[in-house]
Amino acid sequence: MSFHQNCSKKVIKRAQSGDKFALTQIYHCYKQPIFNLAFQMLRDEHRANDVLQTVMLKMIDSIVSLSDSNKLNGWMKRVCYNSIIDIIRANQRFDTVSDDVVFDYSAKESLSIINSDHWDLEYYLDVLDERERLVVWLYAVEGYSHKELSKKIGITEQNSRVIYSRAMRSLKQLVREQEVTNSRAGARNE
Amino acid sequence: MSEHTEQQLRSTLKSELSSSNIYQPSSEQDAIFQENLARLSNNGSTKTSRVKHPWYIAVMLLIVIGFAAIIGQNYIGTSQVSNSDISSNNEMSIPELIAASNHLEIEIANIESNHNNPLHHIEILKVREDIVELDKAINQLYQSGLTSPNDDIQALWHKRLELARYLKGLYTNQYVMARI
Repeated sequence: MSFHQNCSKKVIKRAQSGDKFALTQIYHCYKQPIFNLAFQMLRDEHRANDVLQTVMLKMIDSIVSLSDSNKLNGWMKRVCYNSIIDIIRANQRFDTVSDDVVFDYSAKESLSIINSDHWDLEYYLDVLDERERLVVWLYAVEGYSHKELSKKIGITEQNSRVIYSRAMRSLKQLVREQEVTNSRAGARNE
Repeated sequence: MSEHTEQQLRSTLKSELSSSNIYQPSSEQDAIFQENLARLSNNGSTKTSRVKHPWYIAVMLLIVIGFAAIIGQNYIGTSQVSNSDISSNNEMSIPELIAASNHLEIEIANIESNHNNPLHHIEILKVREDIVELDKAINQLYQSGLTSPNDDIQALWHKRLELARYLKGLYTNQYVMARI
């Protein structure tokens, strides 16, 4: 579900003048991508709903300051990410990892796991913690570099790399758990 | 670590994550948004201005009348409205209609969890499908770039509330089965 919505300039202009119907139209355009992104990051419906309503309140409050209607998509996405980051930050600190920690993982091994039969995306996202999901998403889907990521979240670049490498190492956990499950199932069958 | 492999991992992750399950908010959130909007406008945070384009309204009216005719036709003579049920007269505002509709959905969800009468099962599925179609129509109308046809949206919400009430009736046997 993408943030590339086609709200007409006229609707945006009317929303900027406080037209409730236009504001509702914008809500309907963006409710799915916002909720979906928030749910993917937080894996919790209630908090995803909170993000949705928070973003919409910010939209109602600040759309008047949007200078270019072409920027609405990017603006909504940015507000959405910022709201998610605020919620994660309220729950846990981002910078709990020391800068001395070594970050290493095998990209080749990670790739082979993703391409294997063990791969289960939804389970993998459940295994990651919120920070890891956010970093992986911003890095892989949004194409941020670790430097840009560190500025966005307010952590050091090293910290961003460490969180990402942990997320990659969690892939191995998936394989191990699958193997344990399979071996138990095999033992039962015997 | 090879830069190429890292890029490959990144793009594989991107395609996997981009094609992950899509989650949607419940319709309850629509009512919450309307409440927030009404609260903010009461506080003077939003201004309302209405400019109507006759041709646009005419097109939308046709759509609404079409929907109302198709769906309404299916339920003529079916409703025996309980006095205790929520009234859905045309004077209700859109937020009130949304709130009433959501209230009924919550009641229906509660009934559904205890429902074990297979007699009305097919009828229930049909009504649920019609509600889904109405939801799609409402969303399309909101996203169509219309500027202010509140009456049309209101008519669709009104119809949705009627269907939700009918659905509840099927569960609670308050309606005569007379689907045409």
